Amino acid sequence: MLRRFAHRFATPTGRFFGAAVFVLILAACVPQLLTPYDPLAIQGSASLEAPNWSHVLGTDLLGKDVLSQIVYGTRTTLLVGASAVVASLIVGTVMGLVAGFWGGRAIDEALMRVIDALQVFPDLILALTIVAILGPERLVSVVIALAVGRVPAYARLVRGRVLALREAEFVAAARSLGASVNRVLIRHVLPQTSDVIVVRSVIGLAGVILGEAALSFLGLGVQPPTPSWGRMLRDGFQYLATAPWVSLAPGFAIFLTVYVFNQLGDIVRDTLDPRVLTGRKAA
Amino acid sequence: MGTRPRRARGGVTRRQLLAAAGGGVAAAMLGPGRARAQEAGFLRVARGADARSLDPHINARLYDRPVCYTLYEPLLDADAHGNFIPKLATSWEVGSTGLVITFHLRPNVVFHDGTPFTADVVKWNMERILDPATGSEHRTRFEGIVQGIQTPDKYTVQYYLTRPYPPFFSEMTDRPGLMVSPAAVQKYGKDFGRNPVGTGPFRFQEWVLGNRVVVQRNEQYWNRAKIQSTGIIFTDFEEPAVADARLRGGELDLVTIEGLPADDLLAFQKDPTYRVIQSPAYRWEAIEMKVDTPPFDNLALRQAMMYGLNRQQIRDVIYRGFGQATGKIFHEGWWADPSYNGPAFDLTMARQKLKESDYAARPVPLTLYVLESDVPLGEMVQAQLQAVGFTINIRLVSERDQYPMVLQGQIPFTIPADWTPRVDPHGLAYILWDSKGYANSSHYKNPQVDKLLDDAAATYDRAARTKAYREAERLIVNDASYIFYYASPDPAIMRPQVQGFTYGFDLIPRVSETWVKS
Amino acid sequence: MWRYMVRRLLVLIPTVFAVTLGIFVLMRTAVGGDPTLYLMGHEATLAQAAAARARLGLNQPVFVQYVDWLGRLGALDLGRSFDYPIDVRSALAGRIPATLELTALSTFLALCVAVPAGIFTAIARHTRAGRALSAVTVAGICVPNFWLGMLLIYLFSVKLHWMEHSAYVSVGENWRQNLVSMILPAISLGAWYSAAWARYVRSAFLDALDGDYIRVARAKGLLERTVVYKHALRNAMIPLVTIIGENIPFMLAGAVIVEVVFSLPGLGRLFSDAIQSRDYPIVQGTVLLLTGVVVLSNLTVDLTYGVLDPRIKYD
Repeated sequence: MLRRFAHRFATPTGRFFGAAVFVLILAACVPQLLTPYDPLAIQGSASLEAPNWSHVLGTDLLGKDVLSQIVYGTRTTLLVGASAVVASLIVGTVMGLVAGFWGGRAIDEALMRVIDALQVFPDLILALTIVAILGPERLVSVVIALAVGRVPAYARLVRGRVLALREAEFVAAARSLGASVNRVLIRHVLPQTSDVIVVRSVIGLAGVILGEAALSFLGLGVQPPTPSWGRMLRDGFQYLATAPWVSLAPGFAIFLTVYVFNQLGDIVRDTLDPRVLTGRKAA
Repeated sequence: MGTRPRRARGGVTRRQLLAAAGGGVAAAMLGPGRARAQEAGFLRVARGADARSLDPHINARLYDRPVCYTLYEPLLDADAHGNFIPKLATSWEVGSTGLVITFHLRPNVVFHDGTPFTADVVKWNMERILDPATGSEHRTRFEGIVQGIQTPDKYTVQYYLTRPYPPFFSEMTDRPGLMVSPAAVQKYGKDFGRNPVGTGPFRFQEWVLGNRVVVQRNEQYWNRAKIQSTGIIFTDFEEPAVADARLRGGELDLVTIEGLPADDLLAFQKDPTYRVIQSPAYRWEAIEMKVDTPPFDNLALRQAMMYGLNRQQIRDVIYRGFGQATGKIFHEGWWADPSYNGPAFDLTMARQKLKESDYAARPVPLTLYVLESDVPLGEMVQAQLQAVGFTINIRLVSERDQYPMVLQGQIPFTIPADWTPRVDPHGLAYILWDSKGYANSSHYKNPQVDKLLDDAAATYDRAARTKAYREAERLIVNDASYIFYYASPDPAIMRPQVQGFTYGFDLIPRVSETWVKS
Repeated sequence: MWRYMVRRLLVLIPTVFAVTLGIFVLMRTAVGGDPTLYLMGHEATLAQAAAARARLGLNQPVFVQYVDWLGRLGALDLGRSFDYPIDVRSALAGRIPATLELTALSTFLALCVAVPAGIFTAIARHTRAGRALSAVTVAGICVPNFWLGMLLIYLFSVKLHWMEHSAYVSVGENWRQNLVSMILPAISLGAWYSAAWARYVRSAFLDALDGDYIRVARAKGLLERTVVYKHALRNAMIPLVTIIGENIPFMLAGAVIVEVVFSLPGLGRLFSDAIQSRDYPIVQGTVLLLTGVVVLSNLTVDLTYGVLDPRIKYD
């Protein structure tokens, strides 16, 4: 599989998006390398400056450099995004495996009802409700809220694959040879499902990033002082008429990041299995 | 008394009203900035949030109040400088014992539903507020003070008090003093907040939740000649950018009550095509600390903060130069002390106080809870106090949680939401800084201050009261349970054609006599 | 097929109720759960807040409150808002038109853009223009709708003064102002869908062009154009109906944000405000209504699938 990836990334587009992801991860890990300013440095005299040579994207009300805030905010974005994706992946996969493989009809039905219940909610509404219940002060609440909505997708994917493979010959053959259920799962079924999971995850990351931004914009996402792009939009909205860069620049950052991950998802999908996974890109 | 016809003679019907508003707007779509709905004589006002309740006795809050003053009237109101003006009462006097206050009512006034306004109605209103079953939050203002009401004749009301209480007049100009129609309350029950009926210069037309409140001129109003607007449309806006765009686009005449951020304000002030009127009364802002919670129980520590705040910087950066950097409480009214300015920014003194307080021995990080809208302010305060030597963390608290948590003592260090000023200093000073005050969330207790405040509320002698409040102010400021740093008026931004706009002393605009010249 | 529908409904309705129960319980036991002090404002004392709690029934056990709510639900009484002097049903009813109009307008705009764009990017996929437009649609699904809304406000209201940022009025009052007030929100909400659906149309169109019947039609000698427009198009469009239905839940979620940005008096903004101020009855009612809408739209989607594609059988 890795060889296919290497081949894919040899193309110009592949290299471009690979580099983009690298820059994002760099910004998340060592933001101080990418910007000279401390994003928390208050400079009363430089309040609401338009973009200029010393502040490429201008400053906000307290004179803090906008570009620096965006760069430092990358960590929050990627961290929350990745955590939510990983959490929903784990929970969803386990659910799918249990429903498709281990459980009897009863457990399968029960789990599917739970999945149905979750899917009956519009995603943002579910996330808002969960954050309101858990309290937005803790970052964990935001992660949970974003993860819960994505569990059904993984659960259905995995369950579908497992159900299809359960009847496959090689599984029956392995079991007749005495292999335990778990062994069969890990060695045969999981690898066959991993490709759909990977693609879903990359594209899902793009969706989670948008979701976190939306929650923060509504005030129920990441709380200060943790930097967040969505919240920068919220805080900057009141200055839209006089200082639009404060809100429009972070929005552009969200757009770019989502774009990078969506493209990455396309590349990964085309690499892994171009036949499978048609349908609408979720975001 | 014969019944009055329901339909206002010469007034607009609902259909005409809507057509006028719509037609005016449609006409203006052809060109930006052209006057809309002006032909119909409507005033369009925007404030920072939607109405919550139009029942002045129950849950009417800041953004409801301008609307309430168009629909209802009190017995007496206070003008921008704190002088009382007769409204539903033509005159009043205090009895020789100071325990009986008599109001002479204006005769021949009717409610919008045609029922007459009489002394019995006034009595009913006060009883409604005092009745626990009503659930009015204003009950505390009169409980234990008003012990009875008499109505010797149709237009005379006498309030019997348990003790001399000069703040009574001030309380009666606020929401609990607005007179509602008993018949309407009986008719609508819990929905009265959506179907307000008063004696005011405007009658209720409609309230589209989340959108607007529309009131139309009451042709039976006893002072009809003074009311020039045919009607008023109150809208709200969640985001200041929206208000800005609508005002500039000519869709609004007036933006007020926490309308726009300081930057926009300054832009409008410089712009000759708009007028900015500021309220004469100020709203103060302060940092609050619970003085019975360590480490805030240490006076030197609190005073270190008091001297360590650079109020000028806060005013210049956060408020863009608007308002006043100030360390004291009272800025206007007969009780304010123009010669006193409160503590000045003094970093040396602050550091010295900090050393006195022994904070350095255990520099525990202090968590400052702020509202989301105050985060830049909180960060600036944090930076300033850290320069003194404190370690401060900022934590967000939602608007809905802050006051309950403060009242219940869960947040010892915060920047609380503002209070609107009251016409009488007792109104806020007592509830906040008297040890018996119900809103004394800082648990401040100073027997000297208690005595001063209690004495000041028990005499009608203006000079004595002034002296007492000024003394109390210095004590409260120096005890630093509240650290004052800023005071500002409320600004109203309007198009130059708007005439007759005034604020009440309580910072609430009185727009009944405002109109737009075409 | 009707048996399938009924069975689905029977399963889904308890699901919706289980959901509302979950939210009911969690909201009332949640962090900082008590809304009464906030609702009463600064003048209230702790004692008054306690009395208000009793009056609102908030000091009863949570399960009792839920059963009470269910009981009243039977009479179509959703309770009263804590915040506003209005019953929940009227509050919801008053807000439905704006959200309905927003979603309908967004869908309409999205379709107007997506169908031609999708076809063009399919047919012209080897030209520069076609590829450029295709890239635009790829980018289009990455744009946050609140950012787009702010951009539009800035461009059209602040800078150009073309579109006055009009206050919303209902269609009945003044349809012209209503339209002007809805156009920017509809674009903000619909943009994502116009990009996503354009991409769908493109791929479905290309798929359809490969189909057998197309080859037959070509063999029969029909004009290329007729082939394209009549057969491929129709086959590609049919599933679009179900796609629209499937996207309704997401559109409702997007409506929350767009209504907040543009201050529209819709269900989305009502929900956002109620969540923040813990106005439980409104939150309950809105969740019930929205999930009901989603359930219905899902069922309708399934129904249309069944109708449009006779190959699908229901057990």
